[in-house]
Amino acid sequence: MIQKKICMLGASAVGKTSLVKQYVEGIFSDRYLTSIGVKIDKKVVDVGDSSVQLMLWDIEGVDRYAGFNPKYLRGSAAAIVVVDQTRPQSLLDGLEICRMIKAEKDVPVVMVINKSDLPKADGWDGVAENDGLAMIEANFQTSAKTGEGVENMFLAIAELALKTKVG
Amino acid sequence: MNRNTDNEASLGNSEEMLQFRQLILGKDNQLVRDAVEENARDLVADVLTEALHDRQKADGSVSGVLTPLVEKAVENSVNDRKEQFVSYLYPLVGSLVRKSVSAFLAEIIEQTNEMLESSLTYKGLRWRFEARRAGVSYSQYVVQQTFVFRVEQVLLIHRETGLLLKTVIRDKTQTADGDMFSAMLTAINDFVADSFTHQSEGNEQSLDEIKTDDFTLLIKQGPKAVLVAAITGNPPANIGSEFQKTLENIHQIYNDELNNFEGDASVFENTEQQLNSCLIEQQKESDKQESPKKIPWLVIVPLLMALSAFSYWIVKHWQLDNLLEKVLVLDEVSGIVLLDAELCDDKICVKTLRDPAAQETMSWLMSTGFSQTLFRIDERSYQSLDMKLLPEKLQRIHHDFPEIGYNQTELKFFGSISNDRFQELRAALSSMLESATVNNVLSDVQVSPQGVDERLLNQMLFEKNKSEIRDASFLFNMNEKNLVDSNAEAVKDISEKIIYTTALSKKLGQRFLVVIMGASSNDGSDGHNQKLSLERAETVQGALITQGVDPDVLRVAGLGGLGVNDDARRVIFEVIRLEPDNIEKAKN
Repeated sequence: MIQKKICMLGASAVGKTSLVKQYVEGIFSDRYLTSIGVKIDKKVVDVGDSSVQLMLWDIEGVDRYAGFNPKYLRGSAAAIVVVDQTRPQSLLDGLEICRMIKAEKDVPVVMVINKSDLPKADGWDGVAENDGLAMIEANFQTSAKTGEGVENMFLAIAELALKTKVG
Repeated sequence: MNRNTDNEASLGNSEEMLQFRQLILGKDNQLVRDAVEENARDLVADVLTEALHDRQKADGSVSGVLTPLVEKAVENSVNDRKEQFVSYLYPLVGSLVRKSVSAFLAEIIEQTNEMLESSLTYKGLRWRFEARRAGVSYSQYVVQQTFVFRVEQVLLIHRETGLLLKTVIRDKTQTADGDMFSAMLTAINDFVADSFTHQSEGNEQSLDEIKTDDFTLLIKQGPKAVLVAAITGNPPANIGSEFQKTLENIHQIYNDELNNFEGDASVFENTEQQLNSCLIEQQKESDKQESPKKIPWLVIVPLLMALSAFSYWIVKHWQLDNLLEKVLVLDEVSGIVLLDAELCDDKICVKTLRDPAAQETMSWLMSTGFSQTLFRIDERSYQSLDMKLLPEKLQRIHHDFPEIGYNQTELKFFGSISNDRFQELRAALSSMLESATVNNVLSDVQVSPQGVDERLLNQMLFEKNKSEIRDASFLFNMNEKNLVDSNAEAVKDISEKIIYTTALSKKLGQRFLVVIMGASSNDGSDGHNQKLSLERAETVQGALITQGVDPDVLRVAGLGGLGVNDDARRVIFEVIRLEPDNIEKAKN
């Protein structure tokens, strides 16, 4: 079976961990997240006739001031940047993270706009008209609460990762 | 090449150099290559075997490369030409199966034996306790104690992505999630590398070993892959170089696969052979030496005990059987009829009929040399007409008729007796003896019409009763003032005698006192013994009064401690005849 490493990043409290919580088979407890800044889960996704095992590296909340350990990005086939549509600031942080990722490594980046069950924050659209969005391969609307869009997002990630050359 | 270099130097940039180049690289190039290729087959054929041998000897990589090829080839052959393969293998398979089954059975027996030995020895129990205390399973603890070290699992991880390429595990039941483990270990490694980079001038740090009390993760870093060995126990320092060699070997063989890894780990299936060679272990020397001396005491001790109990039982039964034989053929004695003798539990049960005048069954058996403890006696009374018992019978009757004489040599009574008493005497004799014998015994007895002096008779009966009362005694249990149940009959008996004696004394115009004297053993303080002895006497006094004895004739006294023996705990009697003036004193 093909395996792919996927990194998930985003500002604090945008719902990265919730996004995968009900969806994957997690073994290591959340303690690891606070100790070394990354929590790992795995998920098998069927793409066409073949299966892909996604190793999801859930990297702890980062923002403009606190970066992330770039080594965690090594060997990943795709990166997911999660933002929270109720907080325009999280989008700005997310775009900054995208820049940091691209500076480190040429890897497809997918933006996931989470909490789609809640109304968009005022001024979101203003922030969203940003040239930074050009860096992003695809974006998805999800709700970790209702599960809406989550499955499709991971399927798309798996397809994207399959196309990516690692290294 | 050296010659070429020399030529080049001498030719410089001259025309010849150009011609030479054209010859080698120009349109004739193909000709040169063709010539070499034509001979390539021969060239390789000449050295192929030697080259394979040398390379295999140098680093063992040839077998690593050939194994998957051969496996695949064999697989194809088996698939395509099954029938032929069956006929090839048929002669081998029978003996192979036999051999492997017997080896498997031998191993199982050996393991079971070892397990039994180790779980039933003191050490086994101690290990079980220690394992429980340490919170690990018994088998795990045994492994820790038995092996100096043991490699439990080996993982091959892609360095860049942290994805698991291949893992081999010793105990297939202990499955850890290798995928998650690989990713997590990589993350930890990244974390360590990131955390300590600044201290080492940009050189990337990486984990080499993670160690707990009895568990070691040995991590060997290669340029493309990481080999991780999970080891229990204390691995030797040089073990790392073994893993390093394996890792280098894998890098050599799978260089392209590692470089072009896109997440498909199936191409690394064949590294299993190399990784299996890392599953090494070393057993503890001391344990190997100890094993022949291991003695399962926990089994042997109960077995010995059971065996000795069984032998004791056998011997005892054998002895009892012998004894029973002897009892059954014993010569009978007068007045005892042996009805039956049989084994019951651990004794011999003897049933007899016994004349009251004959000796007791037990004393008969003991007189023949048997031990009292071996028998349980069940005897019933009967009247024996055996003449040998006559002297004893007459002696007993004479006791009740003191007014006449008894000639022991002729076995006859003599003297005179009142008519009433004569009738009593005859009745007593008739109940025991034949009438002819009764007449013979009574032939010298005269019946006086007015009877013997009644006062004299009463006096004799009084004396007889007095001595019988004096002979009586009751034993008591230690520190106990109450009568033993078995004495009830004796209390009744002595009460009747005292009542009868009281009546006689009235007829005789005499007075008497029965002094009940309690005693105790010397155990305990003098004060306590004095009190206890008096209480015992009072107990007997109460019992006698209950039976109808006149309280006026009874007196009690406590004698205190009389000695160390059990028979010191008793109550005895003294009868005092009072002269008329003594009567008045006694009343006061």
